[in-house]
Amino acid sequence: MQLLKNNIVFIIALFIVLFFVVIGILSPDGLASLATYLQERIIEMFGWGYLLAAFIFIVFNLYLALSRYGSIKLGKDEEKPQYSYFGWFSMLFAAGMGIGMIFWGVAEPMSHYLNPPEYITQESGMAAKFAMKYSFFHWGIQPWAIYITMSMCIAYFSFRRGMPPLISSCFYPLIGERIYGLPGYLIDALAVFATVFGVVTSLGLGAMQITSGLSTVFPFEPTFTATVIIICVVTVLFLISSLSGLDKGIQMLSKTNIMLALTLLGFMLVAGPTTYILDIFLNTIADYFSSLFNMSLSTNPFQGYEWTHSWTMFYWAWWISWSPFVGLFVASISRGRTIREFVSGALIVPTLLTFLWFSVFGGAAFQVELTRQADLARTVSQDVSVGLFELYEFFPLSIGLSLLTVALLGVFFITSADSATFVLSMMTSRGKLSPPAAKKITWGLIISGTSVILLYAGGLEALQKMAITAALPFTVLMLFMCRSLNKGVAYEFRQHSRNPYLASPEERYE
Amino acid sequence: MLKTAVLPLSLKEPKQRLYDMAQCLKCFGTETVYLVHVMTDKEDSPKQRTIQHTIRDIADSLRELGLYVEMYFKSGRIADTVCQTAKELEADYLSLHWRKKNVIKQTLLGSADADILRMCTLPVFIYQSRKHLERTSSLNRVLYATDFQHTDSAVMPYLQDSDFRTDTLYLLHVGERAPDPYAEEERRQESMRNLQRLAEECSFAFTTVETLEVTGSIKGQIIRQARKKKVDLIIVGKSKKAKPLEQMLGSVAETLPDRTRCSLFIVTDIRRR
Repeated sequence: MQLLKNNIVFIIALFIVLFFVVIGILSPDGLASLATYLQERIIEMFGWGYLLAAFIFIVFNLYLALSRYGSIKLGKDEEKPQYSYFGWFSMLFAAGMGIGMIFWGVAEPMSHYLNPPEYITQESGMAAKFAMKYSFFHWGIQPWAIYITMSMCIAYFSFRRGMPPLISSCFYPLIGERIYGLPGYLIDALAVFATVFGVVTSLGLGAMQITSGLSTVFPFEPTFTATVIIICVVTVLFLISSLSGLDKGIQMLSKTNIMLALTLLGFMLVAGPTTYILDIFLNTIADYFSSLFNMSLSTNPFQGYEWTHSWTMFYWAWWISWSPFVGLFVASISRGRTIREFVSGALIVPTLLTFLWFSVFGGAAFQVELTRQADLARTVSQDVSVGLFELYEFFPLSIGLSLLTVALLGVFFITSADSATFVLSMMTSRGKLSPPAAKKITWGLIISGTSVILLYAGGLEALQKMAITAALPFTVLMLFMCRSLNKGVAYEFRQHSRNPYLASPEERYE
Repeated sequence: MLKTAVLPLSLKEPKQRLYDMAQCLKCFGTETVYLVHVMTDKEDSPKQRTIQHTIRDIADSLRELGLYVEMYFKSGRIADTVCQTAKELEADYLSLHWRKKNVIKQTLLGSADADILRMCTLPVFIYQSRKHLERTSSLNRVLYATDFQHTDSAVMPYLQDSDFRTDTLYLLHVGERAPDPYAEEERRQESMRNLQRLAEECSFAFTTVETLEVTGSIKGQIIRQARKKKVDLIIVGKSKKAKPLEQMLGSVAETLPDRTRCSLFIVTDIRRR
């Protein structure tokens, strides 16, 4: 009975995951139409809620960081941060959005340039300006605010208040002991559900992209078999990394990642149109910050409505559905930092690096597109994964750059899958910081196996949409988490500034 | 401590209710009642003469209960005038016959009772009739909701007053749950210790003193516990140091009269002014 209780989240989550996987195998079209319907309806009805919630998270983070609560440590008072700044930023970046940026660094500005909202002329200067601004917006402060909110709650309740590092722990001030009952199990199971589906689809789609990247360098066809081989290699590597423990594996991989990424970034900045890129960087930062408030709350009901739905709201839902995974991981690497340090560090540094990345790759792509008639935008619109590799064709050492990118993708994949396996095992082991190896292997194999099966049967994108549907309940849960965290930090100060009157009843009637 | 009461009359109060309320006042040891009516018409108008006649009738019926009654006819803004008169007469407290108004009515028209409660620095007794009270005319069960703040120092002397005749006192603390189970246990134990200390301090004035420690919404829990324990009177303290939201929406003490069917005794901690 105790064994069942200890593994109840594991069993519930496994059941839900297998249920949808079986549907995805038996009827990929059925799952696809159900998932598409759900996702479209949710974004149609609650898209405004995502925008509002993301904005609230920014305000909440800034409020905590700038108020007296900013000095509270995400750990015991005497604890020191476990990782150096470099190690911490590397892991933050790798878990948060590293892999997505590799693909979208070129593809997103080009997509917006070619297909902006209807009130902007396609492929115009205005479209280019819009494309850069919205690329910054979709990968800027909001996604990090979502992640920070989730991870700060988990870190506070786990490391400072001594509760298990689970999402359900964050609700103790609101629902008390019921976190150990059905409501708590459902919250954690939902988090596992969103994480598994998100990672499965990322692994599957990413493996396809690695295959197509490699096929541009080496003479082979990007077939299903090649993709399966890549998934198998990645699986073996991330399982080795995962079993070696968080400290060694993920940190080492993340540092390698960031070094590779910075090398690539530096090369492109120097070898590319440096002044043009820096102009774009500065100009887009000015555009971004001057219209941040406007973009944050614009649902665009009069014009650009469809565009906002298919991009901004989709992104917000995606970041939120990823937040349990990233939040748990980021929390586990942020122990010992103060709230102020955590918010400022996680909000400023990765955002700036992201902006620089988009400026370098987006800027280089624009330069090639506008001055050399490369037609990159149309190529990207047909296949997002080849955008970056097509861009390299216009630069020296293009084969080397492609190989470096594939290596970067591979390492990012291994890091993501490694941290996902760790987080899933932790969530399904009642928050153990050293989850059993058997569970890590189980989740690792489930993720990879499901990716392969769904790649074969189809239904991978349907599964991704199912993961995004989890964003709706998570948005509501995260708003409650803000309330809960606020109660928690306020309690600490209430305890510190206790009414001395209570301690001395004699003084009462003086 | 509660010898003299000011009873503002709008004359919308049913006579029987006023009579029942006066009987309740005697439970506090009240001997003198000042009936105050704030006039809006000219003093010598026929309508005013009728009002004065009615109030004289009310005064006579209250005198039959053994109370010393004086009448005052004033003019001006109701809440200001009532509070000023109570101050001039050096009354110990104010007694209101609360008429509930729905949100729309209260928002559009306002409520003189709510204004008096908001502005008055004296303790305010709010009478809400209940069937079993009318039968017994006594206050058997009293609930004091404490937040362990300075308002305790304003309320406790009333609970320790021998004239305050009731059988059972419930001491309720509605706490905010701590962020983790260990801290929550500590918080609960500390709350129980504080409640116990308050209970000891006023145990001689009551047959039974029971302590209650709960978590949740303050307003909701006060009402729930009062209903559960079937209390006749809720006592709350009112601090002048309200949070910004409370200043806009009203403090717990100011919003309780519209939410509960129990009578209320609201004591303002004037030291906070």
